[in-house]
Amino acid sequence: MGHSDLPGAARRGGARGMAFGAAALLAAGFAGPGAKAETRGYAVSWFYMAAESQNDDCPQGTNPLSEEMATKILKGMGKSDDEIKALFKDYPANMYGPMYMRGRINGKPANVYINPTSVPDPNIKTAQGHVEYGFNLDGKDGPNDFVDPQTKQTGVDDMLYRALGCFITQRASAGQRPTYPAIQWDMTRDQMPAWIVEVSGIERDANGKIKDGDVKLGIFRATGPVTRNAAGDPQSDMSFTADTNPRTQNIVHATMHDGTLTTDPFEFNMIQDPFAVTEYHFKKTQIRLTLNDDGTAKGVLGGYQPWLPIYEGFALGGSVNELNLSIDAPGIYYAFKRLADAYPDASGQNQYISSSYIIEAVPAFITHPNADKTSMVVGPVKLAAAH
Amino acid sequence: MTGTNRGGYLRRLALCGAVAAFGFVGLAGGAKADGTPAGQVAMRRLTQEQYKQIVNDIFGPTVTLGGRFEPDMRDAGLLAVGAAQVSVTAAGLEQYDLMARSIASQVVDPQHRALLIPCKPASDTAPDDACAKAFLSKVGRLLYRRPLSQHELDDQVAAANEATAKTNDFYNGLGLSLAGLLEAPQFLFRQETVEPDPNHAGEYRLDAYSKASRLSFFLWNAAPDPELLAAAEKGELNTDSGLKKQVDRLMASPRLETGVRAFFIDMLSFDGFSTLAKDTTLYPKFTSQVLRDAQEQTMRTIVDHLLVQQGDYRDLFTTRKTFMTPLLASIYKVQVAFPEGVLNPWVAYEYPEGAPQAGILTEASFVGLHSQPGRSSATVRGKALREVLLCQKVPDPPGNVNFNLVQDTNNPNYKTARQRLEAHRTAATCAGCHKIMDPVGLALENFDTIGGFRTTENGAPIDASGEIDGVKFADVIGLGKAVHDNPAATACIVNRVYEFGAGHKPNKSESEWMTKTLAADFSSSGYKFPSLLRGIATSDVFFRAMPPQTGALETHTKLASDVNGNQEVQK
Repeated sequence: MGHSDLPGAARRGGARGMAFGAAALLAAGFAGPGAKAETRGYAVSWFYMAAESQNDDCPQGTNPLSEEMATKILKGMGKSDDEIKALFKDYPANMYGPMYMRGRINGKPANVYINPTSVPDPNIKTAQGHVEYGFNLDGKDGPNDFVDPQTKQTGVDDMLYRALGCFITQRASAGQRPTYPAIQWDMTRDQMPAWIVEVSGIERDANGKIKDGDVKLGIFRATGPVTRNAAGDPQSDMSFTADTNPRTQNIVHATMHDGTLTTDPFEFNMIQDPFAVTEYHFKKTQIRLTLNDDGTAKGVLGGYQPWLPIYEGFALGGSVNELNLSIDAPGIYYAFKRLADAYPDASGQNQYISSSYIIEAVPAFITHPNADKTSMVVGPVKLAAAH
Repeated sequence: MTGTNRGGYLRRLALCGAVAAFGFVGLAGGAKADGTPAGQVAMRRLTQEQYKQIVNDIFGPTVTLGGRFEPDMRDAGLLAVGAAQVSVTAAGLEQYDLMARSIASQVVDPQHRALLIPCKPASDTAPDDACAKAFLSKVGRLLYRRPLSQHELDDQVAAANEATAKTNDFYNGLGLSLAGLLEAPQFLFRQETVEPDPNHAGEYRLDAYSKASRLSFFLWNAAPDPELLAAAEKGELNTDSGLKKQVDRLMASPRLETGVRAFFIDMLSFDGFSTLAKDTTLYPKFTSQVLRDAQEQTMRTIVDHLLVQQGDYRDLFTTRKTFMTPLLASIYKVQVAFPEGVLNPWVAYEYPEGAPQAGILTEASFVGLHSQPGRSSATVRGKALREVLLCQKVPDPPGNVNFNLVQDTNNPNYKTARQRLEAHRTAATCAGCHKIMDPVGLALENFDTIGGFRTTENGAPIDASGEIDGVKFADVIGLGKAVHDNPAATACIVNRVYEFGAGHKPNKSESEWMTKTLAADFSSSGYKFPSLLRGIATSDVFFRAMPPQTGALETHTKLASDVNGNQEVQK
């Protein structure tokens, strides 16, 4: 081979035909006859609640940290100062039990995590700002909507951030990952099968720049997890096999512009690890994904998701989660219920809440077991080397 | 074992080490009177793998080793040759003692004794000559690779009895005696014995048990099994048909793979992996698992190509067939469908036509082992290729070389290794050696320090063209073909394999035989590796030895006397 050629293409010369196979399989209708359509594969390295916290978006301050929160809760339960002092001994070891059974149903103690309405709404502080990543999901621009700092799009719907954005562990800015959502993903990705992404139908101009136009985005669940590298991050360029379970197959048309694709609205389904949300269901989902020259990708997923499973994800950890994360569990239950903004039930209560998530991905090779050919051959492409 | 008995063993071991350090010069080889090649006999210290294998073969995998082994020494490109140059240090002796006692105590413990000891004593608390003798003669034969002499056996039984009487525990006594066998020089060193050759008056050959050991360690990297020892005992190894029968058996065994792996691990200097480090900030894909996988990939490639496919040895430098794990595939950036639910699966893989990887030179084991932690090294790789695969000696650099220019990969004036080395070579003292290393090593510059493919360095395109021994090539694929066609590659493997088996550098007459006969037969076979092994294992030369030289023996005798004298003084 000639080493002066485009490295990615050249070194995968023998596999380029397989890329066409993938294009034919997954992007029929987008890659015309003779078009040099390219398919790129990724493994999702991070997926977490988006947060672009502003200094002034919690005007009354953030929600209290766990000691203060616990003290307030215990006082609300009628505990004396001495009792509270005793419970704070070896904090938080002695606190877990009382926090659990602080609910009251017909005057009797109740597990507050299973029965969040067994305590009054603590009225947690919610975010009041107007800067957040995401999409205008309802086509409207209301007082509760945000402006996306990247695209400057107005009317962005992300009531999930509004509900959680005044908890310290849910806040982040300047491209950082919010602490608890990042922990959730980091703890689960070693065990759960990887989420894998395919972008097919990519075309490039003579300079190697990705052309604007139609592409197809596929998000699947793999049969195995990501592997960590020596830095503790997901290893890039690993080979994955896509799970054939239709609950984890998501394919959608997208439009490429300046190297960033934006999907049409679609329904997104993905099984996750129960530690966070057992199964994600997003309605009116949109994804924006920038394909970087180093082979990585980063973007935003926005959509409406049922809010009850999000609450259950927090409540699963009970008082351990509450005290360690400084998150009042029934408080977020009431906040979700109050701020949910779509798909009402018969009573008029909205069952879904708008939300935004950040997707980070590393290059990967993807095989579809039911395909007659392997579908993904393209790893990182260094455009500079092509020149 | 009693203190006296143990002291005796330690003295003998120290003596043995001291003699070994002199390399048995008394049996220096050369052409014999009739011109038949004959080599020197060697006394080689067991390698770590051989020690482990022997213990595993005799006592099973549930008996574990404690302690650690002394480092081996490489000579003439092989640890197998260096093994004849090493002794045992005082610290090493302690470790052998520790391991011996650990192994022995496991063998005689209640969990193992019923299986490993072929008899039950009349009393668990009293000496039992018959049972001790039955066990020690059986195990001693396997450990010493020959039957114990009556005197040796009597000594061992007496030692066991003495210890039993003092401890009131038969198994304790037996274990202490077994420990003595395990730290005896007759076990730790492969001692070869010569005898007059009855078929050739005035000439010498290895005795039958030494033959058996040489064969077994050569082909299996293990001590002779009972069948081979039995053949030695019956004198069958001294007949052509008997030798051929045993060679056929050893080569038909799956254990041949162990021997072939041991040879290539030695030849390719894989012991260097034990200290190999990479800068994981720059190369986060490099993990300890990658380190293991890289070695195993090359071993699997070699074993499959040479033994399973019975391929041409030279094709190891050009074959597109190899094996992958998920981590290796990520480093090479190739797509592989791995089976589900298998931890670190291995999958056969063939690079597509036109891929930049082909042959073991492009595998992470070669380019990774012969690199710096944070950058590749064309010089180190070029030197390794010439020395390891072509058996060409590259002089060491002079002591006052300034490497600053070569090591600074951030110098904007010298973006690529080629540019840096060209600037470095302007010094006349450097140019000579770099001229033979760099054109070879620069062809591997498309591979970073962990084996990942690249086409640029610091944004500048990499030129992987070069030349080796008058053959020009455009890239690493061309380099692989050039090595494939280079007569030095096949001459080198013939040389190395013989040295590995014989344990010494060939003398002039052996070299001539290798060139005229062995290499020619190897070529005629289509460079089939098993043919080379068989050619050596069934040859007369492999087992012939020069007669002892009197003067040198006197030196040994004096040395032994000195050592004994010292021991006595210390007592």
